[in-house]
Amino acid sequence: MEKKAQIRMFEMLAVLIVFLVLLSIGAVFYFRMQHSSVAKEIARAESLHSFELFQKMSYLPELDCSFRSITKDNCFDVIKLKEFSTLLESEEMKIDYFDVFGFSTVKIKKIYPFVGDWFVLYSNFPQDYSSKQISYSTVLLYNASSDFYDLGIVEVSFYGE
Amino acid sequence: MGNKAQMEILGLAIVVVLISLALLFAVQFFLLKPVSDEVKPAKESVVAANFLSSCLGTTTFCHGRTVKELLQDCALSGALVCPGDINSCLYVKQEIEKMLDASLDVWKKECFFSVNGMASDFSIGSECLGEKEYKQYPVVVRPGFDIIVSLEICG
Repeated sequence: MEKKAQIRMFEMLAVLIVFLVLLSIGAVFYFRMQHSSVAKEIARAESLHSFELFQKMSYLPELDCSFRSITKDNCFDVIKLKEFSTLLESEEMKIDYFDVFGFSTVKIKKIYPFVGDWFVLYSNFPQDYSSKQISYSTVLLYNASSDFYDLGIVEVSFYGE
Repeated sequence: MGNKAQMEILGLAIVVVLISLALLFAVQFFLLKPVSDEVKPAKESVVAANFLSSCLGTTTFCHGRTVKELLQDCALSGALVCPGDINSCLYVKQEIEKMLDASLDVWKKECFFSVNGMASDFSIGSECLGEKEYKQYPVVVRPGFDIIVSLEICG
């Protein structure tokens, strides 16, 4: 009788162990899924933020091509670009414009009629960043001295911490 | 004996319930959850719209005319003679191809550019078969005569 009870106890213990093993496998699976979905959410938020930054950057009044208060859509004035990038080199201005650009790099390059070199408008990124989101688009580059509109590309890299 | 059989059936039922729950979890995570990026279509739509507006406003070496002006000339007569002794229609297509090569092609985005509504309609690239972001830009040639410039970016 005592032996039978012992066997029953072992049986119960074995069932409990199997149940706990199943439960822990389930829990590991569930938390791994949760973790990956949180990572996806973070990536989505960073992508959205990068797009927001890109949109803000496209409509900066500091760079637009305006003629008698009429602003030309999707256009950067080359002279304003050069002056603005010089201003942004100072730490004080970088702090002032941190709300707009955050941790990012903004580069512009002429692609038509000739391909030019990259021109860095703003660069401020952390030493350790977890992700980098790049947005790009075409833009008109107005050269007031020749009165020519060249085609350029603007590349905005956003760094996630 | 009857009691033991009942217990075994109950154990089996619990196992079935546990397996069903696991399957439900798997279905929820792998099949039902959409894996789409909502930002990507918005970004591509902006890229398409920006390409059209900036491309049309770009100045060319054909008498300092913009792409838009060359398309207007092409739609009317194509009489303008551009560098290389070619008419505005051929010249504007060649220049738009250069612009696409230096931008969307570099970003590895397949696209389809087309100009419709004039005698010498033209297109660059091949039409998207699946998902796409489409933008069009009407260009007024003269009152009542518009041409449509459009760009599709394949998803």
